[in-house]
Formats: sequence, C-alpha cells, structure tokens
Amino acid sequence: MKVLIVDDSRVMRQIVQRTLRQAGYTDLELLEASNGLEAYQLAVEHGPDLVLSDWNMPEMNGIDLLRSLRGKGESVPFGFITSENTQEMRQKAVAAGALFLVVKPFTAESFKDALTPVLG
Amino acid sequence: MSTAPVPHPKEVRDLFEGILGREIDIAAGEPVTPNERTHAAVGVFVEDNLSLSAAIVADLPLTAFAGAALGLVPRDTALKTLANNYVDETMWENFAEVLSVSSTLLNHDGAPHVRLYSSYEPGTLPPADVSGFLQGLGRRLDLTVSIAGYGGGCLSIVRTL
Repeated sequence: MKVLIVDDSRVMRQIVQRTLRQAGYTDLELLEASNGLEAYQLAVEHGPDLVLSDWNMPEMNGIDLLRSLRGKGESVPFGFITSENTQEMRQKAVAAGALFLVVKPFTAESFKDALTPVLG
Repeated sequence: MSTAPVPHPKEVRDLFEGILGREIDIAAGEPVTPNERTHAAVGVFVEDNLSLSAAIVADLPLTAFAGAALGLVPRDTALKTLANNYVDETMWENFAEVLSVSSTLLNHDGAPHVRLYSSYEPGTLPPADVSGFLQGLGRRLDLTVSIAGYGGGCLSIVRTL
C-alpha cells in the first residue's frame, strides 16, 4: 500500500510516519510532499492508495488539492490531518470528497479509527 | 473582530501533551513580552479577512524545550542553546509547528475561522502593531508550561477584544 503524506512541516510528516507505525501500519510505502501542488503531481504520477493531507499549506492548500484531484477524475481515498477542528471545516472536507478528518494533535488510536476502513 | 474565548489552561495542557507525547504541568505565569533583551517566539493568528484574532508568545526556554521534545532532540542540546540565548533551526522549525497546531485552541464552532498567519523566531521582533497588542492586559492567558523530561517556560495567549 502506498500512502502520500502532505504537510509543509517536516517534523509533522515525521510524526505522521511514526504514528502510522504505532498504529500498526509498518509495511507502507510512504511518499512525502510539502504542499498541495507538489502532492498533486506526486498523486497523479504515483497513484497512491491513500492521501493524508494537512489543510493549511503554502502554494496549494489541502482542500484545493482535494478539489483538484477530484476535478481531474482522481478518486484516490483522501483524509485530512489538520488543526482545523470545527464542524464547518469537517463539512467542507466531506463535501469535497474527503473520507475523514483527524485533528492535530492526534494519537495512534485516532489514526486506527480513521484508517482501518481504508487500509484495513 | 472575533470575541471568541481565551483558551482554558486545560486545553493548553491537553494540546501540549497531545503534540509532544509527554506529561505537561500548567500553572499561572507572567506575561511574555518579546523585546530586545527578552527573546521569544511569536505566532500571529488571523481571521479569513486577515484581521488580527490572536497571538501566542513563548519565551526562549519553552520554545527550546518544546521544539526539542517534538523532534526527540536531547534535553542537553536544548540546554546548550539556551545557555547561548538562542534556539537552533530544528528547534525553531519544530516549535513553529506547535504554533501552527495551536490554532485548534482558537477555533470554535460558530466563531470566525482563525489560522496562523505569521511566526517570528526568538531574537526577531514582530511588527509594532503586534508588539503593542501583546502588551495588552485584557483578554489573555499567561501560563508556565513544564514538559516532563525537558523543562519549562512561559506562554502567553492574547486575543482581540
């Protein structure tokens, strides 16, 4: 399984990787991008099985990344890992086609709950 | 302008525990005001119309210890940089992420959306309007934050009226 991690913070990408391992996902092929634009190109090129994306990023934010992918006909499963925590943002994420929104700071348990339906 | 609430100390403790994965102790503290002598990290938060909503300030020790703890940098490394009155690039980069995630403390259902707009590393000063705002005594929370295994420092959260 190939997972694309999108966050403009290098340390947060590392923490997401660490938390994936703690949640039991130890054999994933991980790709990284530091903004939505870079992620869009990687997603189109590599066809990941899941995109885990921050919301607020330079160049292209997470919601525009998701909309761009869906606009291109890419149906890759997509979830947000973000500090956006309101119902309004959750609704916006779901309306754009996101499967889930995990709020930072997160735990291995919150990862398991969100990822099990996608990664098993 | 927003009249969203100042966070509760428990929310601050939960956020630091969540992001650092370490036990956190919180107590009442003194206001942190960055100036030429007092180096501090500053995050400036705005609403979607770019109006100022809040600022979060951390003194040099808290910036170093939290930045080190987040990146699993040894405490001794943080102490060495503190002895020289600075934080290194990794610690600052890490603490900037703490500031970014802190926007969860400022967003509430039904209130205007708030996001981190800019951050200033210790040793640099924010613009004069932000510096003036930080000296306000109104809607603010001043805490000491102690990170198990590392150490503590002061944190101020200031919201617009």
